Amino acid sequence: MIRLFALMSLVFSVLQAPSVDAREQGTSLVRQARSKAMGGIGVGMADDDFAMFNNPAGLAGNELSGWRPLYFQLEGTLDDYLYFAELTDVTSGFTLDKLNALMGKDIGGRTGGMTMFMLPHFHLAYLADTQVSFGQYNPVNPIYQIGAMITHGVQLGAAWSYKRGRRAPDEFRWGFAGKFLFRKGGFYEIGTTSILQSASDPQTYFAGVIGEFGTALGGDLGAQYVRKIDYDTTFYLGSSLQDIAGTRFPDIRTQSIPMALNAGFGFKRNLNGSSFSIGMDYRNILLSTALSNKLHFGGEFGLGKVFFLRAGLNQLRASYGAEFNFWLLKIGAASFGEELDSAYGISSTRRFVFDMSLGIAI
Amino acid sequence: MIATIRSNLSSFNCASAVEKSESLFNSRYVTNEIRMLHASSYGCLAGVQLIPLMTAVGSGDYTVVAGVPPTTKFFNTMAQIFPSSAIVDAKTQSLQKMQDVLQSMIVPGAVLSDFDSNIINPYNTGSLLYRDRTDDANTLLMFSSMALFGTLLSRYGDPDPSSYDQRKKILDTWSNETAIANDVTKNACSFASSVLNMYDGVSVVSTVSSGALGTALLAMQAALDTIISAGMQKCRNGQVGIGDGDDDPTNDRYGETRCNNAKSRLRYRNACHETDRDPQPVRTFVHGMMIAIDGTWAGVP
Repeated sequence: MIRLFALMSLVFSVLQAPSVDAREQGTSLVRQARSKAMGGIGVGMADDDFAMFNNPAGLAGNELSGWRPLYFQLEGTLDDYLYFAELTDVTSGFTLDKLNALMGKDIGGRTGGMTMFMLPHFHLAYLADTQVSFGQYNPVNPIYQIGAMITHGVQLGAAWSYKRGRRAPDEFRWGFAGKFLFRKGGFYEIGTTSILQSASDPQTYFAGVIGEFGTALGGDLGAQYVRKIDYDTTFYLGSSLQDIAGTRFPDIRTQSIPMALNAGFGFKRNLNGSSFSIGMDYRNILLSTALSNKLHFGGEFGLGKVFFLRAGLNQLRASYGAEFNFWLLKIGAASFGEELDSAYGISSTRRFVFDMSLGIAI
Repeated sequence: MIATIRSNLSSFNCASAVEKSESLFNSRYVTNEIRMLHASSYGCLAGVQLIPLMTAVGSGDYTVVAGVPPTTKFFNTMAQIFPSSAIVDAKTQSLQKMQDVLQSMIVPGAVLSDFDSNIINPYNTGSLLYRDRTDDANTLLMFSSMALFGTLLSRYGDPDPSSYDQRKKILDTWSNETAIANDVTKNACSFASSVLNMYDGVSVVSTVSSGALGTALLAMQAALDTIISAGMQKCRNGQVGIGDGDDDPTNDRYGETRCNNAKSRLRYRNACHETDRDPQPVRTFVHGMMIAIDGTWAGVP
């Protein structure tokens, strides 16, 4: 199995992904509060229902059946709050000069929903995601970064595991996920000349920029090594290749999802009913961006299975959050820093994500 | 580096943006994106902000006041939007540099002739033809030319602080072609060059703009047309206000070809001082334009 990891690493190392804008990094379909509070980890320590979106091999750790009829997620930025008055002013009576008050700010939000069926080693989800964003730089000749994207579709994942023996401490897992997505829109940079030209009929202009709904098929692969060090202590090592060769939509105006190679490890220990875990991911390995943008560290402390406190470093920016579980209901929230540029320390933002889900065990 | 320059611009750290973009502009890695950032860095130093500028231009007064000759408030508006009183400041130089850089933003596939180009460095050559340049460059060039024109009007016309009427003739500084030729600041030529570059932009942008800005640009176009025609009259006929000389070949000073060439070449801000070309008609053209400005800007008789 070690050879399998070596082979995967070799294959991954010769694959090349294009350099993408930093804003495109944030377009993964599900941004779970748990993962973001823990600094964005989840590849090495893919151990929950959302493993399908981080590392499908982690599904092999799920032996239960259930249905999560509703998962809801809402995300916003700190600038949404700080510049709410300016934002309201712009939307109440739009003129271009009002936009200057939002120069260099990260205005945006996203909301998503999902329903997911879970069987041992197999998950099937229908998900929907809407993102909007507005950014602007260069007051001399403003460039507007406008994001408007709607995605929905089906994703399924399956995983297998191998143990040398029933009591063997080592477990090797591998999995795949397939997705069939409908998407419209993306993130665009629009110059002032285009804005001027669009002034006579902005609706038609923006409809032309965003394009129409298109479909795409995508696939992810994952591998995970799990070692039980003792009854309460587990070590995880994992790697995933998401959106192999890129999930591309037929309309070039529609935002494609770039391929991402990720790796990570985690460590989990149960402590008299409570739990403690830490992990680290090295994400977007093939992406042409600063090393700091690829690093994710984080940990979680759980009081029973009811309350969880989380903290970490997402791209070397502080992240933290909490989750409360009450019977069928899970409510989580996180705050995390994120880089907007390909180099560290030039332009960062703070975002907040809230999620809520209902889960029914079968 | 590009991200840093963008960030510097958004936080108005103009000097740092100029310094960082300069090294990229003078390298083989230069692209139109870098040229735009470099031009914007100079615009930042000069205090140019496109959106407030568009609003100010759109709300300006361009009334033509009847009289002999009629005067226009266009100059008052320009002087009001772009105040400047210092003899030397970074604003003028920054705007001039900005124009050079914007002229080097060439559309892919454009072939530049020697006559219509301005070699800035081994990696950047400017085109004096509107059609060779990108739309974004042309739009910003129009506004930067407007800023340069208004700044020089303020500096050399000494406008009244409340009415913005002219208090000093431009011709007091540059009384004839010789004064223009000997102008060590080269601002006379730059002044006239900004009129032509502005005219190019206004002619196109006014067709796609609507509302107050579109109306303002059309009014501006008429005023600029008068100034440019005066330059041509002076070049062709030796005087302003008596036709272009076509009907009087004996009085045709420099001839149609040389004057048309002068008008084309004057998009380059140092055309009056290019001794290896044909600078004399250019200087005469510039002088004619200044006569027209003094004649149509309300104020000193």
